[in-house]
Amino acid sequence: MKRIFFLSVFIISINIFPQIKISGKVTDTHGTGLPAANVYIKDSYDGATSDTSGSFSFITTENGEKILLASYIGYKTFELKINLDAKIKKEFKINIQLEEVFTELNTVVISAGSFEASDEKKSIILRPLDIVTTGSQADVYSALNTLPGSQQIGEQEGMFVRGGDAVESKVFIDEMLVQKPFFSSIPDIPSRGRFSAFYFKGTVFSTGGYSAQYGQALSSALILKTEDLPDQTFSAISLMPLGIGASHTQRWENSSISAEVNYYDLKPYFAFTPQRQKYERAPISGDVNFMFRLKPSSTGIIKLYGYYNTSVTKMYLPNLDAPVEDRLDLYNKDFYLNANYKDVFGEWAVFIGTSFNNDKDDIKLNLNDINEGTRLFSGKSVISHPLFNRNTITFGAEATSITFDERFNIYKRKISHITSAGFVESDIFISKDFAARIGVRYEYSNILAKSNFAPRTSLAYKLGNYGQVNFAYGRFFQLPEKDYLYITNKLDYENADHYIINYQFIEDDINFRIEGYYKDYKDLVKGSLPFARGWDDFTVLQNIPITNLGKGYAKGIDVFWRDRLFINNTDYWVSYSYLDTKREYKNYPTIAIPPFAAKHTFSFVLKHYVESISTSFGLTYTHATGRTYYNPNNQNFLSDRTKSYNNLSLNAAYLTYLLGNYTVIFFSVDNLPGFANIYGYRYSSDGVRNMAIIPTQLRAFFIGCFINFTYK
Amino acid sequence: MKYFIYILVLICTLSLINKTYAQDEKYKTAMKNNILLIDSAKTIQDLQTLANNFERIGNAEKNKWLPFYYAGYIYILINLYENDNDTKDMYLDKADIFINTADSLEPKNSEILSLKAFVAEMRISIAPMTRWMKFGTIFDNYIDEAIIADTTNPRPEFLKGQMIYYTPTQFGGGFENAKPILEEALRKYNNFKPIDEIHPSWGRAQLEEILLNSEQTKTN
Repeated sequence: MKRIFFLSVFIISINIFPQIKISGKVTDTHGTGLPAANVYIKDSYDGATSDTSGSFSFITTENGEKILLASYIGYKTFELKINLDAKIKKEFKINIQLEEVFTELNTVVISAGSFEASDEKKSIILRPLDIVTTGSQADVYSALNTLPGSQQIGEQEGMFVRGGDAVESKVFIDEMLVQKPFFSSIPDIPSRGRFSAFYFKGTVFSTGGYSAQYGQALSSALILKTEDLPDQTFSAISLMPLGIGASHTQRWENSSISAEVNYYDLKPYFAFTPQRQKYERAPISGDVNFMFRLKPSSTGIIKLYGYYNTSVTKMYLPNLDAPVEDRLDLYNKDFYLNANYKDVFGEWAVFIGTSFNNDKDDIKLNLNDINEGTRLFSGKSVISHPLFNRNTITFGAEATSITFDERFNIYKRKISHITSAGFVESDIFISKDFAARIGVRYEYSNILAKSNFAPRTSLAYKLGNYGQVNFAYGRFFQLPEKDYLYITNKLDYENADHYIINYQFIEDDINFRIEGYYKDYKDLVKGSLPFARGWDDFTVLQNIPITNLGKGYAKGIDVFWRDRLFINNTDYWVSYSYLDTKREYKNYPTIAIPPFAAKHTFSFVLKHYVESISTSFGLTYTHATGRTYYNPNNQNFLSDRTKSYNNLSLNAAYLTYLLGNYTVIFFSVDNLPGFANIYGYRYSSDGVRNMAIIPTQLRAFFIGCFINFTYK
Repeated sequence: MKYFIYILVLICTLSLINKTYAQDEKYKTAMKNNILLIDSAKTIQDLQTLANNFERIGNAEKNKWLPFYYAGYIYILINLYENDNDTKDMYLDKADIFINTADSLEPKNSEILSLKAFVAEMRISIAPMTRWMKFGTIFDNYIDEAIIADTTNPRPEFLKGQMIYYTPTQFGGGFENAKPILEEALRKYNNFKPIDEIHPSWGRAQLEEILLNSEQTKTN
């Protein structure tokens, strides 16, 4: 037995092999030493961590053909075959160079011309929370109005970006064009956006030079991405003097359903804050929202969003040509449906989406019966495929059919057209500091029987860790407005070339950006419309034939600065826009500065959270220099200017935990100091009488209580 | 001759047993040595060295969950020493990789589920305002699963109590709300016996520190 024990000890002891020393240095591609890299023999305990200079050294008892590995966070793992045989070599000196992986953190981001809000991406100027907590209403657009490039237009809804008209800015929800993102228009009153800001997890506000994946917008694209699966099951109610709302979201393992109903009646609110307009019936509106989410696989998601709204307003409009006011009754019904599916198959990311929108305005204007219907049906598919490194190629196609349907008493008219498009775009990373996005978009419209070809390019070059220089060029096309298409289809696309150069600095808490641009508008449609309604612009001007001979330009500088002072729970941003623009379109007799362009616009947003009372306070100040307005008594077209615009709004949100439920009590007041703002003037046909276009109320108040119930 | 073959077979078997025994001893010793160093590691470089050691052990052993568990745990600790938010997230991404490997080797383990909850808590602390909704739910779910998986494990309750303790009072947090849970965790720590010296046993010191500090501020 003793002998057996001795033998076994002997056998074990011969397992011990001679030792070999491995040492060297781990560096990056610039030769800088990398500390804390893990250098080791594969499938063994033998290895070491590099020190602060990148040097490492260890002893191994492994032998034979082995693999030496070196790994470090953010770098590609290094592998080297080595032959460990103490008889041949007792010491190895190996210098290892690690190559950095292209990650979101260290790689340049193509961003000329756009502001993005997202929780998922890093180094982003805005977060979705900023969108809902900025401005006096929880509206996507009031936050966007504080960004440079946006004009402060208070008499009309829509986004007026860098000298562009509202119709030149389009809204996309989950890649699909939205035909009616705002409530029906009423003269001189801005209507709100239809869709709640809370539905979106990502917002890209492009003030120009946007991707080839989107088209039919000469100036700007607002790209909204809806939430994926909600985090949990919850219910919410909102209580406001304006109305009430309730929602419930049920979350299962791989799917969810949400339903929301809202009812608004502005009558009690208008009784409390007198309006400048006279209402027969203050606006009433009701909407139903439905959302369904399903994850059929770990990478895929199916989304369905349905919306139905109906609203009524009955009011009086001042008429400078008649002794009595006009009576306007507006009934609107809007149905919107968006369904899409996104998944990844191997290396192919696929998106298929469809959207449908049916909007109907029934208007009674004095004794006239007017109907306006809009129907949109759209389909889009996008496929993207990664190439080496972070390079990708994306291509896709879309088709949008739009039908307009109008009736004026016994007169009816209708047009229907289809625009088809195809696009291809590639993100090319020449290095992790230099990237290019090159794309092209092709469109064909059956009503014009013409096609267009739009190149889009964006370059980004990273300077140091936080700085970046961007350049973008793109050509953008848009169909003439429907009012012209009703009369003639012998028209061409309107188009604009954008040239953008910017510098930005994004460090954790400090964001700075300065952007210069030049826009060249060509082939704008000009001409007089025979059936212009009383409130349409400049009806008394001479008759101009309808052609594509309009033109224009816009140039300017946008500056943005944001600093989040987390220590003091304070966050502020400052925007400044300089805009120089002129255009000749619609029934302009000559080239002129349009009424929606202020030369200087300045915004200041401040947010401060007071922990002791768990209330966040927000302040927004906006200043814009005067805008032009049409004065028939002035020989020079659009040469009169309003006085400058000022607004200071305050908001406070008190966050509390009521009976186990998160509750927010929100209060805001718009135009607190009571600045007497004037947006422009309207004149009677003979030019004798005029009327200032002013806000609907001097100060607007808003109060609301939002309760979130979670089930646990 | 027959006798000789017997002996030979016996020797071979014994040597095999010895070898696996030696391998197991080597594993335990390596684990023990590294675990002992965790508490004294005070810099990112020190912790990174330990994480690398555990990563090597895990990769060599392949089917043992503890090395990956500790590698993940140490990346959570590294995140606490880092100031830059994006880098913090990068360390937590790394922690996630190791914890998921451990989870695939040992599913439904209370310790691993607790660590998953710990990562969620760290994610919230980076940007509480924007992240509490998403990661709060994830945290709660892992804590619940961890308690069900092993009712004697004190760490899920400790993490839960710690989370409530650091949540502002107006959102249902603060010491008074955390106290019963922290005390429950302490009771479990008193009764908890780790399987052996390489199984998780951390948290007690941090828990006692919270309890002591809060009682002191109250008496002041």
